[in-house]
Amino acid sequence: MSDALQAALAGQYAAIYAYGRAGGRLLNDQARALARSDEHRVDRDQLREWLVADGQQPQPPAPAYQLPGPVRTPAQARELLATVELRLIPVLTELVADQLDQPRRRRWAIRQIRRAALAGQSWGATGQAFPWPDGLTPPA
Amino acid sequence: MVDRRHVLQVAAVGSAALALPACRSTTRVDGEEPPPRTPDQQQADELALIAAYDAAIAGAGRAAGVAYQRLRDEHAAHLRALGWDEPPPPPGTASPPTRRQLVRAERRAMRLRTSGAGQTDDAEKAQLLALIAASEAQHVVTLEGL
Repeated sequence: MSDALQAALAGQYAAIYAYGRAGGRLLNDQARALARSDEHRVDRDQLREWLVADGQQPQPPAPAYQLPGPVRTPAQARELLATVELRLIPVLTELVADQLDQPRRRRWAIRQIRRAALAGQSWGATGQAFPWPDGLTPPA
Repeated sequence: MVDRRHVLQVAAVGSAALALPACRSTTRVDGEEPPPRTPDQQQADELALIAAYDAAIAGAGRAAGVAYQRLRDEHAAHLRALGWDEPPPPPGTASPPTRRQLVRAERRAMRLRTSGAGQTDDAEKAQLLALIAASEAQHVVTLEGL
């Protein structure tokens, strides 16, 4: 059983939820948010497919998610999306190690780390030597 | 009165004091010092990026210089994480690269890190290279925004 795959799936659920909450508060960035949300749905489906292929039951999304702060303004919406994207990186990094002997999955996780870092940056996160969420220590 | 035990201790210390410089000297003369380390491909690439940024900083205006310095420092952090703890060579006299050349170098570096992350048998190194690739992808965006 791969806890890393389930954790990555849970991260995608959380991201999709956050984009749903933030999307309506964004003014000029709604199309970009919608496109990125669609990418997270594709990623969610990919992770579900791998779990099923491994004989596991994909976990369902949580009934609700606690947001790190209010989402009433475009700035707060962008901050939420930057936070959510960076919070995906630790679970994807774990997936790289977990799927070391699965080249396709490993390459997928490596690519998703880059996409999450870029998406986080596009929503206002500061560039980092090791892109990682605030308050947590990267493995480097 | 000086006892025999004290004399032996002084003699031993004196011999050691004489022997130590002699040992160092012999090592230098015989060329037995450990050979200088050779950076691996990932480390060499980070060293080249640091050199490129050092040259770029020297020829940049204030705003670009601040941005270049931050990116240069992140490459120095990558280099340390990759296990290279020696200081990078001092800046040379090479002509400063253009911003477009830095973008190309960052893209090349990102591909090299991504490839390394996908090929290594070492799980921790795969994770590290994946994070460095992500950082270098961010560098491309930062440079393109200057």
